Amino acid sequence: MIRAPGRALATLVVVMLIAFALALAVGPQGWPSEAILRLRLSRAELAIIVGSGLACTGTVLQALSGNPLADPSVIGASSGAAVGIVVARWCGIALTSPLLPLFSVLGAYAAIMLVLRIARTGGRTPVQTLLLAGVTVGTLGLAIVLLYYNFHTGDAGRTMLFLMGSLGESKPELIALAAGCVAICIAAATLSSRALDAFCAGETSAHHLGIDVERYKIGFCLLSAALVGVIVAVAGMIGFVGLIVPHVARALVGHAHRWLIPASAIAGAAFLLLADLVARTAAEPLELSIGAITAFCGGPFFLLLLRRRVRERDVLARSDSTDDRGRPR
Amino acid sequence: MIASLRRAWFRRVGGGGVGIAALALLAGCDHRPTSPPPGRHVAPRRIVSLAPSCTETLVALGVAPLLVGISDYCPELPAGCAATRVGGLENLNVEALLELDPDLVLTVQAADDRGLAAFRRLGVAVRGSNPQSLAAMLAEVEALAVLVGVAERGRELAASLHARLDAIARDPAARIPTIYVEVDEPGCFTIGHSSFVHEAVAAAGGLNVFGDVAQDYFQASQEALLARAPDVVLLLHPIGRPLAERPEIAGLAAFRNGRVIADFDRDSLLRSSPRLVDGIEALHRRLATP
Repeated sequence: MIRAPGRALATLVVVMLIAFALALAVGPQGWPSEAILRLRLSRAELAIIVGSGLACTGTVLQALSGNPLADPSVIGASSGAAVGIVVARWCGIALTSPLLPLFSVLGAYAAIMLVLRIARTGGRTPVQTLLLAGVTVGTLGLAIVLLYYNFHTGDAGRTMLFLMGSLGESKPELIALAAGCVAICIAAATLSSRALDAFCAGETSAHHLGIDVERYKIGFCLLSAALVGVIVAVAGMIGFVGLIVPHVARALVGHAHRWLIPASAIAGAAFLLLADLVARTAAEPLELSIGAITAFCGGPFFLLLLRRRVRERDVLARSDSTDDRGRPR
Repeated sequence: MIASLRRAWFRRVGGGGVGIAALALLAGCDHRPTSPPPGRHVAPRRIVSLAPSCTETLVALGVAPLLVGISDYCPELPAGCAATRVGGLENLNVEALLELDPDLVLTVQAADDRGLAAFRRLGVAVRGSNPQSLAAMLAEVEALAVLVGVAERGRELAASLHARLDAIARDPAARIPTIYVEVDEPGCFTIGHSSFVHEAVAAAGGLNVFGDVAQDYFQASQEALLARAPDVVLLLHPIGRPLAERPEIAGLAAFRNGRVIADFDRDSLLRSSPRLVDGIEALHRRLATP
């Protein structure tokens, strides 16, 4: 069905470059001054890093769980990272400290490892249990964040608002750290594309294909923890990117992760560049919440996708229960 | 969503009120007016203030000993007064409040706040006010004075505050500087013309750079701040991140010219109480200094 993934990938690169140019050129002030241009550049960089990282995480988690609805929040990674941030704040670490990503990565990692430990039975980790444990641990994490909000009312408001997501971070060290981490993780996921392809066929099939299922599963969870932790530390929790973008990329380049991972990363970057453009220009001089923009763009699209999927399943179910002429078997 | 959450949070913390959502849940919804129940003509003798602005007004009226309970955000009371702290924002200790057996609870919650109705259902008289202009603040001073039985003192206080504001107005600066007032970060959380802080800045001789925005508190875009290039930056919050690391501040001429005021007594401008006039006078002096 997908004939030329290379060409589709090239198209995505062009789209992302156009989005990048728009992000630099478009704004309420027309031709920007040097200070404004520097500001737009910093936001665009962060949009690319965060967008590509979230989309890559979503693709990996969807393959790993065999669930098209999987994203960082489903396996508890996002709220684990948020708990890490809250613990860091509780220890007196500033929201701009380079130590912050360390705490959020550890938080995401702890959440994922806890989920794996809870979900593992008889040396295996069934997908349903993994998702159920993920949602439960995620809810527990959010409860910890809320409790922190209750007990540290003065400062906690600021931390909560930080967690709600923004591309305003501009500290070069943090951006460079996030960029490095995201680049390494995307490269690692692309290099592991064979394993991800195998996971899509189910754990048993992956095992029969010679994949060390458990080791890869832990590896991919660690990769997701690193990505989510670093992204939450620089930009808070921005939703929907990891859920939506992999589906768009899949429609364009097909299911092979060799193409799908880079395509998702590029599409995620383009999506967040455009979302940030809307966030800072739509209601100028007000700045809208980037998370609200991603949800507004992503939500309807996702519902369309879901509807199409349900119809396809109905058609398949009907063809299973009828003969070639549409009569019941 | 961020802006509205921030606004709600700021109103409660900076603006001085206290969240009483738990009570609302406890007792459901009601929309009666916010004055105490009719038929009570006796001046209250056991007051709990859940708002720093109400506490400051009572202190200024010289009736601080009437306070038996205050919120965690209220200032320390004068020597000799003892009031129990009953919590704050999201952690109001309703039982501790009820144990104080108050005959009046003061808060800055809006008239339709569900928390007020919840208090009434628990048998507590509540007065909610939200003065969002200088005139409303002066009227509130007089109204509270009448309520606690010191009407004459209230009139005198309001008149003296009025006179001080008039004195500032008679001393205009040669050039009105544009001013960016930041009430919170991360992000550029600032004031529009619906906030009393906007009027206070104008009374001090400044021009709010976002005064055209029909909001009270909102998040401005970094780019809009750079483009509007204020003469003065006034930061009314603890500094979380070094200003040099914030491109929207570091890129301003005000930053390069050393016209960033970060050490201002923020509560004096963020609470709609008699102390606001102190804040206006202090800001007037700072703006006059090049």
